[in-house]
Amino acid sequence: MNAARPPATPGDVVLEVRDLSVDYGMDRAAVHALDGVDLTLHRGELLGIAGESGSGKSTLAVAATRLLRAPGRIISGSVTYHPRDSPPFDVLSLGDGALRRWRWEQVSIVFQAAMNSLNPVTRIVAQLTDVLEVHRPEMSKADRLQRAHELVALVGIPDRLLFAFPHQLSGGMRQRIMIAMALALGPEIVIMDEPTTALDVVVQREILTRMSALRAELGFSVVFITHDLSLLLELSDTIAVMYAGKVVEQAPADDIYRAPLHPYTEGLLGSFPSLVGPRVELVGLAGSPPDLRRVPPGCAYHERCPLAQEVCQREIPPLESADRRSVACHFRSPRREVVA
Amino acid sequence: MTGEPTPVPTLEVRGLVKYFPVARTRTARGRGRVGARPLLHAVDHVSFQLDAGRTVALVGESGCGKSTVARLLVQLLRATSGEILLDGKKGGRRSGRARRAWMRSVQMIFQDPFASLNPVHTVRYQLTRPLVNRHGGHGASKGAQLDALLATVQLTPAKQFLDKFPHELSGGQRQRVAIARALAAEPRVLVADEPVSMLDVSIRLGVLNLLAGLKEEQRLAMLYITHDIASARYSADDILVMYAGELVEGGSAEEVTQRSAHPYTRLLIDSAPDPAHRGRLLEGMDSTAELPDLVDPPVRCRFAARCPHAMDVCRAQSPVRIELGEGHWVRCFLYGEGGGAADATGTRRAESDGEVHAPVPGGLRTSR
Repeated sequence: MNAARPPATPGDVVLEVRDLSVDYGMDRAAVHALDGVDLTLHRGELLGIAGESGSGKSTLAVAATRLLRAPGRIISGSVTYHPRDSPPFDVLSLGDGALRRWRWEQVSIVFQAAMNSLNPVTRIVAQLTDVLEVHRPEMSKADRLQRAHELVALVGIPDRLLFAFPHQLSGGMRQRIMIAMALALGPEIVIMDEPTTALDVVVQREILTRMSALRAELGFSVVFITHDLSLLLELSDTIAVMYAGKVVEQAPADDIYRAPLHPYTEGLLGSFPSLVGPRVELVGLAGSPPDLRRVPPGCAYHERCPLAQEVCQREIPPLESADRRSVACHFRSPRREVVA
Repeated sequence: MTGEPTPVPTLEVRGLVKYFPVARTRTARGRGRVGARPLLHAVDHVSFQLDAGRTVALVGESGCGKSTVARLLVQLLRATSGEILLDGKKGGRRSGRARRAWMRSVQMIFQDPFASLNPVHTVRYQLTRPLVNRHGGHGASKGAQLDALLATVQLTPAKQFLDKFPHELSGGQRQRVAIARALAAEPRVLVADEPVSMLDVSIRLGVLNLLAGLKEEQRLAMLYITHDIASARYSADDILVMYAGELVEGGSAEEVTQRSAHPYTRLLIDSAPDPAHRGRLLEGMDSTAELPDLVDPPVRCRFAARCPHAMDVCRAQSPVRIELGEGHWVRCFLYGEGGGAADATGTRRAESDGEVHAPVPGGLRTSR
């Protein structure tokens, strides 16, 4: 494993999602949960995905790892994984055996509900060594146990709790066990789907601090999914903002904070009360997130958008890219600040 | 509390205590009370007041007892001891007219609008019921009042919403219906228990602004319960910080957030993601995140085990309330000689001016 995070350069891609579309249900009743999503994850990068409920961010995580269950279906697109020392391959066409090896060894997921993701009737140690038993059959029992001790130490859990049951741990500890499990095989990518949403802010901070330190040490890439844009601004290298199944803006975190382009991103940024600076009245966003069964025609955001014109009701704006920034809006371009 | 003092506060809480008996287990030791049932100290001697037209935020982590306070205020729970006064009159009777009158005057908004509205009834039904209970008469005659109610929570045109079922509404709309239902009883006090934490980020602000507007227009005394200290600063006049069943700091929202005194308040502030302070969140933490065991807790500062400034006295005595001026107070041995015990152990006295309790990590002098 490399020691430090290598710089994120365009040539150093680890996961590429192209034109990924996912429907729930069939034919006319189908809900388009993901609609032509493009995303690129660089090696060592922390990519934040921000979106409200129904924006498709969790669907993206399960579709890209092929964990999507019926009635969800991948309609189109590709997910290309670039291993360090072999040619890239399409995840969506992997066979069962290869898929099983790819998951957990190359990519792992941490889900939001740690309580539901841990088996309540087996001890933590068994849940950690199970992974090793399946993926590393050559390891001896003693080695597996040794590795389990290392893993709990890695996430800062007292060693004696290795033999505890999940209900004996606090919510924050359970979530750290989930992170330990995700790291068991030293994956390239860790996908975190709202890993701290159910936790208190202090616990959240503790886990994220730990996660950052591990990332610096082990050099894995992270896809961090949350509804909390302010949290992503603290953590991420790059942020993608999703709305109604599409990526509407993607840019380095600094750019998103200093100069958001999409009106939705701008509105989201104005929705967080701050603890510093003067106390100001915030306006927030008008309206409510769209019902995916009835997504407005044209730009899905036009009903809530202060910039909306007639063209927004008719045409879906394409995602335009320039200089590591992209935005999907008729009136904002990644090249210049404001057009029109 | 700051602001022009009214002769009688709308709602006053004095020494409110709620203990829950818990089962005797191997881990919950009886600590010197052989034979007695162990007690979980959910709310321990909490006092505050709510005034008309003002919002007080009660801030704390899950498990600190803030929702128990809410339930005590609306009489869903009976207090172990202490009193709650509404316009100077005592509540707490178990049944009868007095209790019903109380419940009309003190209304609550719950966290989860998906669970707090009855799924088998329309909005019209859910809002007509409290109107009939409040004013009598027939449900059919309440049309104008229904329209007005929905207008106050900005659900217009009312026709579009009256005959809908909860599942046909979005989360934000449901929470507005829940607010309208609380307002139908024409309450004096509104207790909002995490009213926006289940809502999408983009609509939270709308609901917070709505509550602030209602408080002004209807002169409500509001208690806003939240774990999010940034939103407390945004929407409240005063902030009370609660930790492990006790209030640890209080004062005007600006005082508490800009010149926080208690190490716990500072921990909460430092842990809140804030784009304006990027990069600070992941700087090292000097506290752990575990709440103490509240079953028969020993007499001591309950934050001592997590506190980076903990001294011997913190583990031996419970801190008393120390006034820092302008209505700002704290329960911590790092402040004031009023604590007495602090001086006895030779602790340096922290001044109560802005410089010492500036909201900078490490701005507080560490005592040896």
